[in-house]
Amino acid sequence: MGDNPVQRAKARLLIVDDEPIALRNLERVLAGDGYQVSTAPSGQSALRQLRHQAFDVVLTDLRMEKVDGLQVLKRCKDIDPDAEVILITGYAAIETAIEAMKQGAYHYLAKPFKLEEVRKVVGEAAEKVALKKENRKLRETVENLKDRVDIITQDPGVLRVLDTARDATAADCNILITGESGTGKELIARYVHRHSLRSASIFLAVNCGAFTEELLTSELFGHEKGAFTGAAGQKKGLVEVAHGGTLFLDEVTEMSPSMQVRLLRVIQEKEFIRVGGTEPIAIDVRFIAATNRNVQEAIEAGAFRQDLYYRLAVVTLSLPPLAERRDDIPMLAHFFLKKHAERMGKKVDTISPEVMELLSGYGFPGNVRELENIIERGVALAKGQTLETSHLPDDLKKMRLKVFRRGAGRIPSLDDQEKAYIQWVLEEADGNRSRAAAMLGIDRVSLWRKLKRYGIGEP
Amino acid sequence: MPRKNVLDALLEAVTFAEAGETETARRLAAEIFPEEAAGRRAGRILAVSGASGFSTGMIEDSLGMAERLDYGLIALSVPPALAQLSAEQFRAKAAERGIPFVHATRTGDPEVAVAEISRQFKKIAFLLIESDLASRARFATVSLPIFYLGA
Repeated sequence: MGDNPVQRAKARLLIVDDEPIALRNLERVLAGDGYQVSTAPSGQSALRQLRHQAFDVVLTDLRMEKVDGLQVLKRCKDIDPDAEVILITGYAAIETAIEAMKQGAYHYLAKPFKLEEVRKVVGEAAEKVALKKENRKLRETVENLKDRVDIITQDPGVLRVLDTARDATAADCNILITGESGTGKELIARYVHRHSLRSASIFLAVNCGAFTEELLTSELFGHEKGAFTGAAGQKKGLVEVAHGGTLFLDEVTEMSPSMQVRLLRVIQEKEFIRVGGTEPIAIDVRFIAATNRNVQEAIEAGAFRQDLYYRLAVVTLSLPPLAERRDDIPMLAHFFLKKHAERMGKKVDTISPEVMELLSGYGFPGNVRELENIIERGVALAKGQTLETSHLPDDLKKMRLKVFRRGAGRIPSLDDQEKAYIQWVLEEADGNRSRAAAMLGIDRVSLWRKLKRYGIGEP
Repeated sequence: MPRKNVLDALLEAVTFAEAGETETARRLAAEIFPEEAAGRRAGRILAVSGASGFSTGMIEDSLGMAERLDYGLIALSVPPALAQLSAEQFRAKAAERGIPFVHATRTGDPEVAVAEISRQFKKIAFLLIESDLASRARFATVSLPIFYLGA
């Protein structure tokens, strides 16, 4: 970030020095690097400017008459704790400078300094300030979003799903939610229930893949006393308990064919019979089903009934994988950071750019659930304020995971494969295009054309 | 597991359960009934071997993912002859970390084997395949997300 010209143009610098020549030299060099530079020829002048204008980085001489660098540091930190202060000091004042660091200075530069060193330190300080501001902004966004909606997203695709879900709440129809594991299908189901006319009543969830057929029958429909060995008393099933509310059937395509017939009958007739019973019991339940499988393929393969599909999928909501809504990753990461830091009583409130870069490039086979777990683990390990790469799981840091195919059942096109392969080779070549071209067995011009065509390496 | 060993292991699990050490009992039970234990997890990862079995990267990464997602693991060896040794290492490391583990072996076409296993086992969230398999397979009939491990 420190080398990013856009970042530099946004960073506001105040240079404070009572030596006019040194002041002019620093101003010329740093303004030339793209920073918005203001100068102050004394400590008093610096304090005046700090009162009227906000600065990201203050570069100040330590020894000045009347108001010295330490006073500038203190005032600057009082006004804006996020701002960073760099002190310039002669050899004789290094001990004071170290003391200043304890009081919150970012760094000190000993005279005589090299301009490259100044550039590097100022760049790093500006990057740190930008990071703190970005983190603060994300935290505020998360706070605002949390008050307004149940689901943390700014992704247009997910927002469209939420719009459709809201429309479906009024219709009181059955809903099928599709999406990979960990994309938040149950969260959407709960969202629909909370915004529906049934919100005052119960929401129940059952994972159809977690039970044998006999157990699922008993769970869903209950049983009469003595219906089978061990049925010591009458038991109400989830379908009965959910009367007036919503029943969420997760992994519905894992149901056996005979269970599918029973469920279809319940949906069609709006009544059921307990196991071992004879009397039909009327129910009023909204069914929301979910699956991570391709339902059409399951129907074609004869594993899922088409008539049941039509009864359940009056409205279909499809949730994208997290890797297809990458813009949500920083916001979700901060949401989980805050959640788990509060729960664990930790002060960690910042995510380092390196961590964010790794997260943004990861495939997340486990989607949002996996992101939450990664952040939770990181918070548990973090000792300071910042989540660093050392707090991430090893396999994630090695970045070995590649996507073979994401969309359910979709065969990757030749272009998809070529793009993925070129990206992988580029990573292998550490971004060196000549080496990547050699590894691919093509010339640099051909590689350049392909990179341009696939938009690889463009901002 | 031989029948006598299963009985011993069961008695051991019951002893721990009666002593109130439910976690140990659960871990022992998961070793005896890996299929049932894997099914109780939130989901499963189907890890598919390459021609040389399961690589160290595959074992480490799939266990890491299973651990943080609270998933079980199904390790499918295709072809089994070459994969047996690494599958045993895989099983041992999964047991060390308390991750429910099922090992399946199939001969013949890996495409057919993967399709069959992904239909047979419930709650598979995604597939993790070795890179050499990724370069020679399509898995057109598998409607689950598929990932592979690069170098």
